[in-house]
Amino acid sequence: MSTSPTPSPSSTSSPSAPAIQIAPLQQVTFKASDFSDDESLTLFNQQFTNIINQINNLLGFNGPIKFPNHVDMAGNRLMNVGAAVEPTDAVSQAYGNTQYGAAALKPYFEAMGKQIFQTYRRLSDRNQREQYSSFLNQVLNTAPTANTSYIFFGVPSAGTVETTITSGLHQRVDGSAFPYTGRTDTLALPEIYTITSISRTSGIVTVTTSAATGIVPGDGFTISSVSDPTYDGTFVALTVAGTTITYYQGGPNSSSGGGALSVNGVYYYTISHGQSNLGLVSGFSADTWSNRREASYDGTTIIGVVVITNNGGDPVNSAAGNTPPQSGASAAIIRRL
Amino acid sequence: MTLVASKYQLVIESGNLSGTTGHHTIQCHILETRPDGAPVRGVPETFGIEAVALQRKFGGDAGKWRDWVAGVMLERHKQRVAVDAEVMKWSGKAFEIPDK
Repeated sequence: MSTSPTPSPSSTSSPSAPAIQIAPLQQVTFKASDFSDDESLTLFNQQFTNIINQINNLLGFNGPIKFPNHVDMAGNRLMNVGAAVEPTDAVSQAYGNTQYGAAALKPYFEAMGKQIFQTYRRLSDRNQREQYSSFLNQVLNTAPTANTSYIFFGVPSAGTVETTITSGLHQRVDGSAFPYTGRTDTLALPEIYTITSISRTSGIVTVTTSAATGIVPGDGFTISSVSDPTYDGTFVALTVAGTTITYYQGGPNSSSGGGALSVNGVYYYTISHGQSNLGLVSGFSADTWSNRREASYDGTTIIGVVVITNNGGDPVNSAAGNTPPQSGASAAIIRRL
Repeated sequence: MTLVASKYQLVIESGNLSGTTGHHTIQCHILETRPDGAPVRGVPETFGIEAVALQRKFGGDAGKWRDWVAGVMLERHKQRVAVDAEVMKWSGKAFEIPDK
């Protein structure tokens, strides 16, 4: 009986090496006569050679081993895996860490990295940060802004009044404080119109003036010096028809006369992002939430509210950050900024 | 001996006119020159005036409004300087607190 020389193991797992097919071994039953002489041993030797070749194939001595089915490691490890070369190669843990681990991915998550994530927004980048504040509607714990200013008025003269808002600090939503300068404006007192009749029915007052006021529904105005002083106060127009205006005011049904109606002048002092000088937004006749929203557009915050009547500055309805909260029939519930 | 007083100037840093409301605005500060020549820059402030108010109070003369601003600013500057001089004396001193 002779044996074939054992082949040396293939030195690589080169993908170019021919894959050896593992074919099923055929069951062969030998008889005693198969071992009686050399010629009769041929079948046995052929079968034995097949077995040796298959074993050498499975040991990898004839090139990469190709399994005809999945490999179930039953929870055991594949050890000493070499560096991957082809896209379909298995990888070792070390190779995976190098290529896909946290350290490997870190440059892609760095805000200032050269190869930035395409969907990542840099908060410190003027061009990438959020330009609008609407998303803050979803933030439940956004702190209100505040400031340290006072508003005071001079004595009216020549149909004007000086309004001064002191310099101060604006506290932003993150708690930082930003200084701004004071400001003094000389403002014209609003026009005054003589009241020809005034009456109240079921909580709605109808007032008629000697001339058209230019007021439109939603505008604010002041009623003063009416014979029945319960009519005096600051109101917002409900309807306007010619020289007749209606508005809400609780009280008994009655009618009166005398007095005057004056159109309010409402001004908002504002600070814009990055500026230290206050701006003045005018053109309002009532301090309403919609007017405040209009005056404090994105990037601008209201620092103070100024209300001017024909008598001068209205200290009750004017406020800045250091104005104490007040309440009353003619004062808004929340006035402090 | 001749007493020499400080000299004051109103420095207009910038001025503008609102194209929407016609409101005139200036940013300004007082520049004080001490007798020894040392300059003191006052606190900057903003002043504004409506066109109607300018006409009513100053007859439409912007120069008169500027003079009024200068007077107001000078008064505020002198008050600040006086308070600052007083406060600076307090440094390093202890003050008794009256026990009520």
